[in-house]
Amino acid sequence: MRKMRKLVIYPVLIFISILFVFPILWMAMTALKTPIQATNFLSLPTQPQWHNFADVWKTSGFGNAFLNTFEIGLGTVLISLLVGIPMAYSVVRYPVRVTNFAGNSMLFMRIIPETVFLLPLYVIFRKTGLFDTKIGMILAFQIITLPYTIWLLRSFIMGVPDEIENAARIDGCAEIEILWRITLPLILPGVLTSSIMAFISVWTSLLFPLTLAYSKAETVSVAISAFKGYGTFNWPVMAAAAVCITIPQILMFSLINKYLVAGYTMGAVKE
Amino acid sequence: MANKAFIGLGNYIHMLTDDYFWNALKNTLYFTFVSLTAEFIIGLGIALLLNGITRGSLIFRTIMMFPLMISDIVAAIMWKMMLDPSSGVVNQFLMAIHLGAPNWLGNSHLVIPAISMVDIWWQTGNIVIILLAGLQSLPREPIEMAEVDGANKIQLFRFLLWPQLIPFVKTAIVFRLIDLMRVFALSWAITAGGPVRASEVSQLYIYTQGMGKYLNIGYSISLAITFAIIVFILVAIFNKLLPEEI
Repeated sequence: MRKMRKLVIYPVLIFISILFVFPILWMAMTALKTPIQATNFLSLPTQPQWHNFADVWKTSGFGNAFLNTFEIGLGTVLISLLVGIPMAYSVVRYPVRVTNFAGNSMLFMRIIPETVFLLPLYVIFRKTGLFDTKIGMILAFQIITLPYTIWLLRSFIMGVPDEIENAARIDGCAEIEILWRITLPLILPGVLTSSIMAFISVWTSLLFPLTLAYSKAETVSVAISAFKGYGTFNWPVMAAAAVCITIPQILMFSLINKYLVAGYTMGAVKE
Repeated sequence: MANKAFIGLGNYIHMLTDDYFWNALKNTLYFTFVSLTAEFIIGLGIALLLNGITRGSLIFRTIMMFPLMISDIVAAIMWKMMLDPSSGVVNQFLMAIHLGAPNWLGNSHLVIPAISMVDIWWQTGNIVIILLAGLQSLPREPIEMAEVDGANKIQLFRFLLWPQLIPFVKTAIVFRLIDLMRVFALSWAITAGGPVRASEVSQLYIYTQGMGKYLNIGYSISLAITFAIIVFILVAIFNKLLPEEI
């Protein structure tokens, strides 16, 4: 009976796995083909066309967009942590009405479609000169990353028993030092998870850079979609560009493999 | 931005008769419904299968999560190539097994299911990891006791696993619902809303009104706010409908 079940389960899982992985393999293979080979999926890249990757970097500021995205991503994470850690701490440890409201409004922020913020921001950015600047982008991204960071850290801070903090408090430790020396080291996995998730949301965001940037603060998502109009639809180069912007993302995800579920659900589900 | 006259509720009244807005909303709801249903059923199935095995469980789980590590715009660009009517791999495969070659992105009846298919590939893993985390957090003893007492698989699922899984189901569905309603990249990059607005989703319409083409900032903001309220109401309904922990 048990054996029979396994005989069914494994083939089904293998079949589903193939469906899940195939498009990614196809993309990686296409990146190494010639444009003619690319239109036939059975063809194998017998002579890998590595120059496709070089072509990506030569095309319309792709390298520039890559650097931009890194800078904007790092800036965004830094500000989110600087503001988010103390806020998450106070939301958990001092649940007065104001912090409760702040905490709950965080979840609302996630529900609101991006266009609600982006259109007014566009008008404001145009007037204040923040349009198409990295600083402007970093500030704008706080709309998504800050609530996310606070909400995720909140669930990690709730996992720290107050007894530890109270012990330090009795010994006369200042509140900011409790946060810095006691709570923070205990929630480092949460800090790492929220940083990486915030960075990835900058990396993958499309509507923000599309609305608030033009060329100087262009990010990878916009750069790759600009390939759409690129000449005669050069599939291999597009696939190569897709590979280039996916690899950093996979590397970052693998760093937080263990906390990915918590990361995806803003801490609602922890393994 | 040139015309700054205050027009009261004018934008909202205009919206009521704006067929394109309602068309986009209809498309968004249709896309959300198809994707959410399929993702949930497939995701639950995979989670149950993965929960039933021990050897190789980690490898399979990692594979299921793979598409999640790709951004929506990359998924869109990939699938746009794969769904190409003549040189795309999907149709080449279907032709090889003699199932015809539908024009996925050119046919107004097929385009939303096609985009849903992309989302199902892209995000089902999300539901798998949440439900699997749920299943693995359940205590083993009651399940073993029920098995000893001769409960069959269906009874086991219906009366033991499902009630305990409800909070996780709720999390998975609400999170997916929020993200599905906000779809933009898939529609924008795969079809740009076409053919003839058959796959134009709300955020895409709002974006085109405000930024993409027309610069009707005022009008597009009122569309965005209305859309946000609709999303809120939907999320609230789902939150109420799905029972709390038992």
